[in-house]
Amino acid sequence: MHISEGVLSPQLLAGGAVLASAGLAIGMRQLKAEKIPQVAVLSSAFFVGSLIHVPAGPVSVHLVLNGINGLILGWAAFPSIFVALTLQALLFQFGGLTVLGVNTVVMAFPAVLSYYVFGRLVRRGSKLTAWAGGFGAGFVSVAVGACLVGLSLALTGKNFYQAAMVAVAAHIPVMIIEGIITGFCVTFLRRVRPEILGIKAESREEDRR
Amino acid sequence: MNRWMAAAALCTALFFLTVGQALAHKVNIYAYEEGGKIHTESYFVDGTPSRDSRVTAYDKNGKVVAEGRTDDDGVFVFSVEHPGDLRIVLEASMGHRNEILLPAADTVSGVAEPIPEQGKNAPVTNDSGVPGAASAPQGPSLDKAIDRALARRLGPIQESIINIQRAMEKPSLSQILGGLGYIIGIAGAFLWGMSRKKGI
Repeated sequence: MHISEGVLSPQLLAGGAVLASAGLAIGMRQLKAEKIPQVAVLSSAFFVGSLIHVPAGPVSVHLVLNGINGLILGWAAFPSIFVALTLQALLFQFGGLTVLGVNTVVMAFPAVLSYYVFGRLVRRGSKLTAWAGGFGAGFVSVAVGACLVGLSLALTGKNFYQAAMVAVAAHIPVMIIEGIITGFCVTFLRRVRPEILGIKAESREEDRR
Repeated sequence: MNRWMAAAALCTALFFLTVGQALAHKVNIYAYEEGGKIHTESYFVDGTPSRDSRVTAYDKNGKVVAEGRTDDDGVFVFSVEHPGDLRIVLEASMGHRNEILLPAADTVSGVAEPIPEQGKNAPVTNDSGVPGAASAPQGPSLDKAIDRALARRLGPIQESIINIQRAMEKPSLSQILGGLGYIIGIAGAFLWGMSRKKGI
C-alpha cells in the first residue's frame, strides 16, 4: 500500500501534498484535546499494522488498519495516519518522504469516507448492524485505498484498470481480515467504552479514571 | 502558534537528517557479478521474493543495456558487454520500486566474451621476438582463469551478504519501539501545548 519514491510524477506528488495538507488542516482543526490519546493509540496501531504481513500469493501485502482509524477519529485519521507514515518512511523506508502526501491521501481519505458511510450504522442500531458497519468500514477502506494506488499509478501513465485490479486483488485477504478485526473492535468498544465511538453514554456509570 | 513553529522546526530537522539516506525500500534489489554474468536478486522487506517484476539495467549514459523479469525466486540474470557503472532498477507491482548502483569496479569489464574452456594456460613462448606481442594473449586468458576461480570462491560470500542484507532490511524491535515512542511523544507534546493554551 506504500508507493515508493521515484514512481510517480512530480505533479502528482505535489497534488498529493496539497490534498494531504488540506486533510491535515481539517483534522487538526477538529481535534479536541481529549481525543489526542485515541489518535496516538490508533496511529500506533497503524504504524505496527504495516509490519504484519498477510500472505497473498506473489506479492507482499500487510494490514492497513485505516478503517478503524476513520471510524473512531473521523477527519483526525489524517494526522493519525500522517504521523505513522512519516515514521515508517524514516525508520523502515516504507514509501518515502516525497510520496508522503500521496500515501497519506491514499490511506486516510478512505478512512474518512468510511466514517461518513458506516459511522451511523456503528453508532445507532443493534449489535449485529454495528458489527456489519465495522466490517464494511474495514473492508471498504482497504479496497478504496487499493483503488487509489491504482489511480495514482494510472495518472503516471500506467494502465489504470490493470494497476487497480492488481492492487485490489492482492488486498482481498487483507480486506476480509480487516473487516473482521474492525467488526469485533466496534462491538467490543460499544460494550466497553461507547463514548469512543461517539455514542452518548445513557444511564451508564462512566468509569472515569 | 509556538506549537506550530516547534513542529515545523522538528519536521525540518528530521527531513535534513534523512535526506542523505537511500529512500524507498519496501522492496529491495541486490546485484553482483558472477562468472561473467550480472546476478540480481529482488525481495520484499519481509523476505519474500519479488516475482515477475521488471528489472532494467542502465549504463552511465542512461541507455538500457538489459531488461527482463524476475523468476519465482526473485532472480534475474543478464550479461552485458563492457558494463562500466550500471544502475539497476527494480519495478514491482503496486508502485513498489527500488534501484541499486553496481560500480564498474565490482564487475569485470568485457564479461560477456565467451570464456574458452581450454584457455591458453601454457607459458607463451616468444615466437615473434617482440616481447609485447607475445604476452598479449596470455593476459586476457589468465585474467579469465583468475576470474573464474574468484567467482567460485566469492559465490558463497555473495550469498551470505544477501542474507545479511535481508536481515538488516527487516524492521528491528528497537525501531518499532522507537516509532511507538515517537507517537506517544508527539501526542504528549500536543496535549501539553493545548493544556497551556486552554488551561485544561
